[in-house]
Amino acid sequence: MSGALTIRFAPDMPAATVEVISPDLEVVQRVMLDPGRSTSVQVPSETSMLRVHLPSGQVVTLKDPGNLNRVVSLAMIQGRSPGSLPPSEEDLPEQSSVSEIRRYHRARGRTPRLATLLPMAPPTPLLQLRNYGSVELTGNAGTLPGVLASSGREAEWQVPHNPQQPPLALKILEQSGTRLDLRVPGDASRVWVRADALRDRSGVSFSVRIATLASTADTIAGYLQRGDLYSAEAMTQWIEEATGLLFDKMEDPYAAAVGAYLLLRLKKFNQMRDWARNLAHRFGFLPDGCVIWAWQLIHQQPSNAAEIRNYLLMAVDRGLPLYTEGLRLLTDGLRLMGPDGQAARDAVIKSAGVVLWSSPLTASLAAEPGIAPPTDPSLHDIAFASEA
Amino acid sequence: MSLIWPATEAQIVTNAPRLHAFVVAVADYPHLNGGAGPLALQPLGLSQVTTPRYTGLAIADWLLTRYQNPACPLGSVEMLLSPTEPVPSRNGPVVAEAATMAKIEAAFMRWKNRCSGDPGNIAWFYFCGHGVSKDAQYLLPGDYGDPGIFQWKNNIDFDGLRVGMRSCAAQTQIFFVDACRETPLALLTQLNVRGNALTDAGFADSVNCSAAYYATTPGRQAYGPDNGVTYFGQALLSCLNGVGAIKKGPNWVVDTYSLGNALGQTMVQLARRHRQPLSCNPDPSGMGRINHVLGPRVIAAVSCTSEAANGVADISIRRGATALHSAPGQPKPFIEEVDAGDWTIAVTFPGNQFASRPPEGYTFIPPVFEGVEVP
Repeated sequence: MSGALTIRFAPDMPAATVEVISPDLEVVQRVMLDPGRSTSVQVPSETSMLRVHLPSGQVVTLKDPGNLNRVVSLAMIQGRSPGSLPPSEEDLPEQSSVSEIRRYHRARGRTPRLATLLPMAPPTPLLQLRNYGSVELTGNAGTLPGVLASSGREAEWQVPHNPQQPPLALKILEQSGTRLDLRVPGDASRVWVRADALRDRSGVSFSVRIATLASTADTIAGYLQRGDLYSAEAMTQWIEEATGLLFDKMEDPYAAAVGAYLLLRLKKFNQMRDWARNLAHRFGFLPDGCVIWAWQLIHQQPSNAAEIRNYLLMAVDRGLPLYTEGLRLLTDGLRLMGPDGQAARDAVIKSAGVVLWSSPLTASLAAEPGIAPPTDPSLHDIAFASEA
Repeated sequence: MSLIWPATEAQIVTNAPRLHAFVVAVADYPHLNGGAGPLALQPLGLSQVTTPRYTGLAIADWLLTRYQNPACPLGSVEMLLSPTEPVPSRNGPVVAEAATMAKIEAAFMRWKNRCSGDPGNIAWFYFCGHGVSKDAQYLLPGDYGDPGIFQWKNNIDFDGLRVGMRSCAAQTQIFFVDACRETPLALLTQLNVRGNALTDAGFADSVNCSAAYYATTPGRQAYGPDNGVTYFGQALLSCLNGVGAIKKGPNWVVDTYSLGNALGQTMVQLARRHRQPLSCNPDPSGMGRINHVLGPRVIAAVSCTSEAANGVADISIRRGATALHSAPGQPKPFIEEVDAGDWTIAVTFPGNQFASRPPEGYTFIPPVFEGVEVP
């Protein structure tokens, strides 16, 4: 029997894409939901199913035949798929696998404060992660104090809320002499870094998670990082709804940049209007605005070569884009400039060093002067925090 | 000869939308470790590989026998294969030319020109062989590392190629990079790494859909069984055959977005089955329809929730006359590609170590079903 199916996300759910699937397996609709929000979908049968695409990449199918009022909670998903979500009060063993570390981070995403979870040392600027290396997070006003936990394997920072501040810089100096430089969005609310010895291979895993004030943007960034445009496409609803705050008032330029990258990927240029130009002009510390605007012009006004070149070169002058997506688009755009762009592209490549392309945020590795590259390089896993 | 199908250039349809494929498979590197030629000055720690030979042939076979797209039927298959061998085709076996840099460059231009014949064309590029990554993704042709010439002369700059393909008129462009994306230590110290992008483009060139699918995430290795199709190749063929399908109107279709979603999930299950650190990196931009299938398929991954139970569980899945079975002691999760729809799963414990449960019904929805919740 057909009817209107109401779906509501409980407050413990992260923003995510939900598919409504009919009994003959047709996707009736894909919708975006965030905590506390509900939506209504006309379904051909009350036996229609839900499939939730969690930010971590997990996909959970929920069946509840006959019920046209579905409430989706993290607790319910955990009960539906035991083992899929880790308990929230669990530390890692001394040696762990990559998948165990990722599971741990998903649980940590749901833990608002580390202090309640694990014993910590007092806040300090430079944090020593056992004998694996040291880490520091620097903002405009200097190094931010962070805390150590998990027997010295984890460092965490609570970042003062100011979404319009310039990006922060995270530096991990590994014992091997390798340095990881990562740029962190200014709208970050929590950052945590772990160093774990790996069980299934030699070496150390350095993993970084970043939660921002715009958790929906974090979900989108996660989808984009995995190339999952199928799920990401539904999130354009958030962009439409948040237009006023996000793009007109630019309350959070970082979230606006993530939204714009999504629209670029989906080639929904008309929805972008001239936001990216505003982003470029108002936030000089964010080269991404110039890159996005240049690419919007490439798609919409390719004959306006002078302005495209101007914005691409302006981006180069401002430094590396914050998001890896932006770095890729910048180097691609400079390729399209032909021989004129070669010198600028060479400069970007030189400045970027060895880029971790798997990171959603621009990250590069460099060896300390005089030190040979390690024969057993570390593993680096950088992502936005996802609660599920 | 590198045109596998049709038999001659003149037989290629150029005045209507067609899919034109270019498949490069390199399983013979004379200048890398274990090769028959003089060793490269910098072999980058790379040796011979077996999987591209099998993968290239499997991809060509799929294109010739399984590809279905009423709006854009198969137009041509161009293939280079090292070592050379006959490739089965609709017009009989055709010996593919070796995948050297010069042959790749020439075949690429023929393919690109062909693709430019109609904006409705689909340009299909598949590379299987060695790859390395630094500032860009590089693909190594068979004669990479010839010590008699500049080290990077025989090297393909894939990122440049993809950008350069914007100058091709085909508005749907699909690239598969079935190669490693590691940065070997020896590459870190090289300052002058260069590759040939084979083509270029300017601001005025555009493409509606450019989708690249990489066999692994940046910085990591790609894997495959010796003398078999790569795991990425296996996952891709499963997805194209229905695991990546979604229903659009009356049709089940694999498109660039659904393929990305399905490939990621399928590789996760292949990683579990083969206990390998598999991953992949879909990078689609823009929507394009790829393949039509008769019906959806699903990767079903069935196991208990604890290793202890997995070791002693007897799992069977059944749908009509079709029954699949994994006895105690056989590998779990029990992972099989099956038709989508309603299935019954029975998990029993012949040794009574855990309580057996009566068979339960589940709906398998593409791309992946993961269960069950016992014990």
